[in-house]
Amino acid sequence: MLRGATESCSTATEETDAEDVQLLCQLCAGDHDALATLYRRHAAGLLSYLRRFLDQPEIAEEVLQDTFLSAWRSARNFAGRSTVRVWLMGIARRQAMNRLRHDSVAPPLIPLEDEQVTTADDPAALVQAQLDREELTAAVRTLSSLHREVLGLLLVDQLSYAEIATVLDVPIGTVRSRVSNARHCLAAHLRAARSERDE
Amino acid sequence: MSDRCDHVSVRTLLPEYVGGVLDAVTRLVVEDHLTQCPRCSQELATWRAVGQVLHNASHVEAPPAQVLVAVLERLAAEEGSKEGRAARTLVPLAPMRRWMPAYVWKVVREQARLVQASTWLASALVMALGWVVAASSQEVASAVLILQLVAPVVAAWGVSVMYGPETDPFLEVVLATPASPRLLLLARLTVVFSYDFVLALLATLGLTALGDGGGVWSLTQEWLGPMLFLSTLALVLAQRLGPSGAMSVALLLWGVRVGLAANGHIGLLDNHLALILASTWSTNALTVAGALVLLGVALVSLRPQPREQSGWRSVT
Repeated sequence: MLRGATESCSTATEETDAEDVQLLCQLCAGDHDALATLYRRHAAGLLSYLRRFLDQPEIAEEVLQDTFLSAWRSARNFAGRSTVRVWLMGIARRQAMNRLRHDSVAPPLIPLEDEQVTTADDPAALVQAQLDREELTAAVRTLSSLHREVLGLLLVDQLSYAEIATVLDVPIGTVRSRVSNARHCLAAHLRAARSERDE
Repeated sequence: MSDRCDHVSVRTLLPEYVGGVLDAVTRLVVEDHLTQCPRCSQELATWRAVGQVLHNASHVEAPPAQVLVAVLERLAAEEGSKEGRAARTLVPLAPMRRWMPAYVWKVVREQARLVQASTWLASALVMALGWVVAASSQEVASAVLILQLVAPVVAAWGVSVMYGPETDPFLEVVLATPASPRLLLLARLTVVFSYDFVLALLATLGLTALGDGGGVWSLTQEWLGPMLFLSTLALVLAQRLGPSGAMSVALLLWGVRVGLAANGHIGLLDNHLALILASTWSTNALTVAGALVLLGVALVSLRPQPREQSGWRSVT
């Protein structure tokens, strides 16, 4: 499922989005069934996304609720500048940030030093002769929430850099630098794990 | 493109390749390179494995039904409540129609529903009390003076408490709708001012029916200009000082006016303050122009509110 997209896939995406836009129109007319359909189409993906940076599953579900309520209220504002799915993900992220602020938890997705691309040379990069799943899982866990989020949006949700920039409300260059820095962090963790194993 | 350059640029593209978001031509370039470069192929395998780890850690097979039930229950509860009406009724019109008469009327009607019941009640009670005192006054001049003093203050109070987070629990919900904040302010001002105007007019009709104060129009002129001026002044002050600050200033003006009136000095003093008060406490072109200027100031200084869609950026 993580394989590359094809032209037929992008056509399918356009068709799916046209159906989603139609559902948003129905939302504007007060159609609860349309909301239920939109929920069935996108809730699983949105919840997966939220779970990547909200540790407690029940909080993620509450934010999912807020996301669909917010979509219901602001369906009229959808201007078609992205797909409905990306629009919903942007709402979900803002709702999650509101929730974290409300709970007085320091938001884990505030960028710190990663807006600049790390320039350290790492010729070994992500190459591992024999991939050890446990080591890799541990390395992914050591990534900051910010890096996990951007990699998840790219590798799992299969969003383009432009779409990720829309969801995160940051410039596209910031998305590139986050991916690049996530890669450097992963490589560093994998190298450290490998040298530990070799010793 | 040299091999080294090719290698570096392909390595940069690998996350997007795994994400499946590259265009067809770039994808072919990457695939061509991968067939010749074991190093990049290994890195590709790592990226795929990272994607799989992230996928496994958060994957949700089916959306939880209880969340949808909760959403629909909250919607049903909201739609039966004042907040729900506030949020929903302003949404269903397209942006280009936001200043069309039908839409403006809809906004005004909804704002009328959202004004606090205590505002309606307190305004009516104070006006009724003023009327009783005026009607029971022995002298016609005193009756006119009482109406002239009460009507503007009631309107100024209504306006100063009508629009602000301190006094309106629904304001946040209303401002989250796509309606322009300026339109909302104008709509609510229209509603509150019209209500107070009707109250004052009823009091005027009541007094003229009792034979006090001459004709309806001449008596209306006694309070209409001051009502306009003091209300718009209260609106501007409420934005800066809050409702209580606005009312304090309005009451101060009122108090000075009462003091001067009680001594029969209005229009007789050379004193600038007395002249200003005399001119603002009558219906003339100056008070109407002053009210319009103050209304303009209130609208211009209204800060835009953050909205749900404020995060929109154009996708390049």
